[in-house]
Amino acid sequence: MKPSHAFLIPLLALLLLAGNAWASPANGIEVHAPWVREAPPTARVLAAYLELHNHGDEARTLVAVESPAFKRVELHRSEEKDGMASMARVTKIMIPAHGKVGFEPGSLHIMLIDPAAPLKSGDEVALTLRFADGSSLTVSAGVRRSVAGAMEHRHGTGHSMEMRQESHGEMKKHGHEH
Amino acid sequence: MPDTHAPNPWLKRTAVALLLLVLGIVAGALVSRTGPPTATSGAAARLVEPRPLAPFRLSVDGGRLLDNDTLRGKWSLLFFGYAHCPDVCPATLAELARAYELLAQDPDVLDDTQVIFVSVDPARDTPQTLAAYTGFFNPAFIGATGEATQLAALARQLDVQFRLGSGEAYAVDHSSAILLIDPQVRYHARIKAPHHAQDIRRQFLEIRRQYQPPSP
Repeated sequence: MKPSHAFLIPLLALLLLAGNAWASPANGIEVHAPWVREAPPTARVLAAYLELHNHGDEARTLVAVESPAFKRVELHRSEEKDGMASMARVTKIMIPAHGKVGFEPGSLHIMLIDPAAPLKSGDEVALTLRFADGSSLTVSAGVRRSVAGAMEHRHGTGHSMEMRQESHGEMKKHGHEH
Repeated sequence: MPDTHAPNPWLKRTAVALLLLVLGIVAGALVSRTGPPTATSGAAARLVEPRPLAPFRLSVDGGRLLDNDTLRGKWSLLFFGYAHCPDVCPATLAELARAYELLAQDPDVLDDTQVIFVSVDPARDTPQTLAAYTGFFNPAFIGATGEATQLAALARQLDVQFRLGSGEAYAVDHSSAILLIDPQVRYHARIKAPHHAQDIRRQFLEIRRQYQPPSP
């Protein structure tokens, strides 16, 4: 973050306190802005998105996500190559020390399979993230129609630009991002 | 454990609203300082010579057909995918739905515009389930599928590719472009991913403006 944007820090801190971030002091992992894309009531497969921030001095590895609202949860990555969209399962995601990984549409996502009940906008879904070191973190993801509202605003900040640059670096082999 | 740090929901909402307002202003200032974003969004490619579609036949809910005749006299925006697709397909359909809403502000455009989602996964998607699926994004959207040979024939004409995966919960690779069929039932243009509603609208309107209808 450039010094000229330093005034954003207190604002962002307040925003986080306002309820859209979850932290696990044990392993330094913080989850920002988790959300589930609302899907047609008949949909058997949904997607969740979030950002993982690692404030610790050691890399952390996300190995699984669980949710009582779904029979099965997997990590997947969509890719766009030569005009073809494809999707592949990912078994683990490394979050570098003091680094960030973004799960976002058209890229990494948490695939939620077989909902116990149809979900609609405004519902909350509990997601438990499990890490290789045995730690876990449970967050509440709001079901939303699209990347709108708070996300749009957040994407307009210097903070978000910084985040996106880093995630580009990490995922340059899979560089399909908007 | 989730920790929201906010025992009072009303206070929390007010705080969020105020912060979003402030952040919006800050974001606006930042954008105006850094200039307009670079053109990374989807681009439209028009065919030099629009290509008439050979006969094909797909099914729509209610026993209706999607064939050459149902495309005649309208602009059709087609997207190929499958309903078990959690990421790319709903994201694209959501952008198409927003583009459709934006186009409602352009006089008469929607009168001869249709958006069609073609499922290349007829084993799991039926015309009935597709109607519910597309209707979620916009009630006017059409969901169609059909026999594998018909799907392949249509896809081939539109330079669309798809590949069904294996296993129980298989995924399907598919072209990410939106295809434009003109009112003479010709493959006219393709809009490449990534898709954004405003770009879809702009490109679609531009293509319509340059379109020469057949002389009567």
